[in-house]
Amino acid sequence: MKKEFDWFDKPGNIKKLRIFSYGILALSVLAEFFVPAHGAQHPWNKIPGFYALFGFVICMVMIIVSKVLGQYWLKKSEDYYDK
Amino acid sequence: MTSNLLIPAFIFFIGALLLLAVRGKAKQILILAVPVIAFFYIARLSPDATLTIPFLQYDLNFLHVDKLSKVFGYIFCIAAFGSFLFALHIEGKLEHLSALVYVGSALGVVFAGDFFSLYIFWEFMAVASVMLIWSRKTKRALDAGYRYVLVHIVGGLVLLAGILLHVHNTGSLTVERIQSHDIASWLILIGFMLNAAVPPLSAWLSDAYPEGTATGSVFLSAFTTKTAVYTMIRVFPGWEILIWLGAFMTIYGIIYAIMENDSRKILAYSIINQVGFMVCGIGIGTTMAINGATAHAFAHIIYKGLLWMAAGSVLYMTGKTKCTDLGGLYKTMPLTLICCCIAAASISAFPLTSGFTTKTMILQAATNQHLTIIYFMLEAASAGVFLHAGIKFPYFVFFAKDKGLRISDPKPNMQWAMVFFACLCIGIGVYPQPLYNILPYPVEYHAYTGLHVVRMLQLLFFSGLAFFVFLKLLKRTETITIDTDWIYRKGSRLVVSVVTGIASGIARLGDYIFVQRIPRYLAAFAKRPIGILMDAYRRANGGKIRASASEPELATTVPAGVSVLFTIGFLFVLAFVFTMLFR
Repeated sequence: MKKEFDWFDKPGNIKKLRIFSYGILALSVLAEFFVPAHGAQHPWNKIPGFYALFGFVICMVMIIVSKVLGQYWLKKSEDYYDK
Repeated sequence: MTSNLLIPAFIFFIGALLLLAVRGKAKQILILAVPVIAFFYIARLSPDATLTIPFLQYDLNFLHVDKLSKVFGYIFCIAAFGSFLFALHIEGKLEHLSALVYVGSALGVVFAGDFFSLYIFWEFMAVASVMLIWSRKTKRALDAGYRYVLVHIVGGLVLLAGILLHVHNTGSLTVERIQSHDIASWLILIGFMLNAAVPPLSAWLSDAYPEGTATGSVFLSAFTTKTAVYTMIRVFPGWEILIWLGAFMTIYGIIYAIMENDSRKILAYSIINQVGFMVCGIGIGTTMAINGATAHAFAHIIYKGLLWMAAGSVLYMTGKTKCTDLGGLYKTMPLTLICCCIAAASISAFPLTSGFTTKTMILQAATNQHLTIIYFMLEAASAGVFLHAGIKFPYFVFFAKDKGLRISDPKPNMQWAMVFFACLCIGIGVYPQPLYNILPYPVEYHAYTGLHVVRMLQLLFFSGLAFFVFLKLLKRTETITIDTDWIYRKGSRLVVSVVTGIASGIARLGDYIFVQRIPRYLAAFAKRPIGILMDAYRRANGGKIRASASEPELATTVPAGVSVLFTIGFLFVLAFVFTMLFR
């Protein structure tokens, strides 16, 4: 029998993937310094790594809002409408 | 003016008729040939082509051709081809039949030059598409399909009311830009908004689409909402309320998609999120924004179809859709995984995919108009898309915890359909110029500047980081999420009891007045008219009332009273409507 592809199940590989991802994150921020800006820029665009910070923070907010809304209001058991 | 005898919708309708006569291989060739023929037919349509049919004092125009209707015509044919390829193995005819009529009706709406023919095709779409849900043959699908049709019929009636008022006010049936903010315009807009799934009129989508068949939902994801986007572009460009509604939609879709456990519900909510970008672009209304909304609709139909195909493949092979039941499928479904990731990257607008070259036009339009709050709402939504559709969906279905499911990729035709759409996603991302060329206005936009790319990558990568940092909060639970369909699913019980209460009250009142009191007086009067008059005279003079000797009893009391009351009421309403409309 052909051996199953299970690369993502090995802890060692996950570690490699994690290091690779951190590298990508750092690169995406660093790259901004090497890209020339044209024309007038919005004030927030002058902050290096603004979009990285914005992306992280806004996702955090959305996750927490979803969690709270789900926990206390909108999430119901699967037979909710059958009751 | 050249008069055509054929409209693109009829190619699909003729295909539907022919389908009844063929079987086996011929059936497969037919359903693939119909969208191809329609595509080339649309490509050859000249802008002055018309097909007018006189109706009462109006001319109905079934064929209005310009760049906008053509680009939607193209994408609908491409979507139909891919979806039929994905559904090629289906044995029965019912699903194909309803899909053909559904796509044909959508094309009917796109090429409709007047509101009346638009409305006819609009209602056809709802009725034809429900079979794609009912064919799942589960009780949940039956119920959801039933609600789906009811909601769309109500929405269609609102649209019809708006159209009638609009025609009465302006005397024009032509589908064109409406600028007056009167009641007629609002009713038409509400009709369109319902089909575009603008909250709070969106719950039908997340209720019904996930209950469709593995192949049927691929069709559903493409046509209804995008037809509404098209009609909004045509009729309501630059309506400011759409900017805010659209931006709200993008966030709304994300919040719900994060909460959902069912993989196909996640996709349903991400349709609402993505259509939000388009609605917002329509509201902005500049040439850049309209181009952006159109291009985004084009790209969206493909990558969203592909996501539904991936989810459909999983459903087809495992019979499961819940994230809590799935996981670890990457080991045995490599092609589905790769196609799913391409679609996920496209919906997230990764550079080199179709989302990047189309969605960013709408963001650019927002900055050009100095709509800073809107711009940040859309950027937030872009980050959130990656969170739920870009990572969450593939992660929980293909990775996460291995649930021991060992299934292969689906049937070859399903794989080919996915590869076809995946190539288009990459194609539009790498070389968007052919798409830009067919947009309604000339395009002066360059997606690939260094800053665009770097900022988008930052936004997406760090959204991804947030996903893994907060993975504990995102843990799947075996729950459903209530949306505004609660009002007619749970709230309806309350409504039913109130309505029955009121109705039976009215029935009793009608019964009392028309069956008990009035006939009693009339009968008594007929028996002894002089005596009654004398009684009345005595009463008026302060005399005593004489009891009548015998009173008639009527056997069938309730129905007669109600129907009499309602008939009289109905006649009054009719009289009122006619005097208002035809003064």
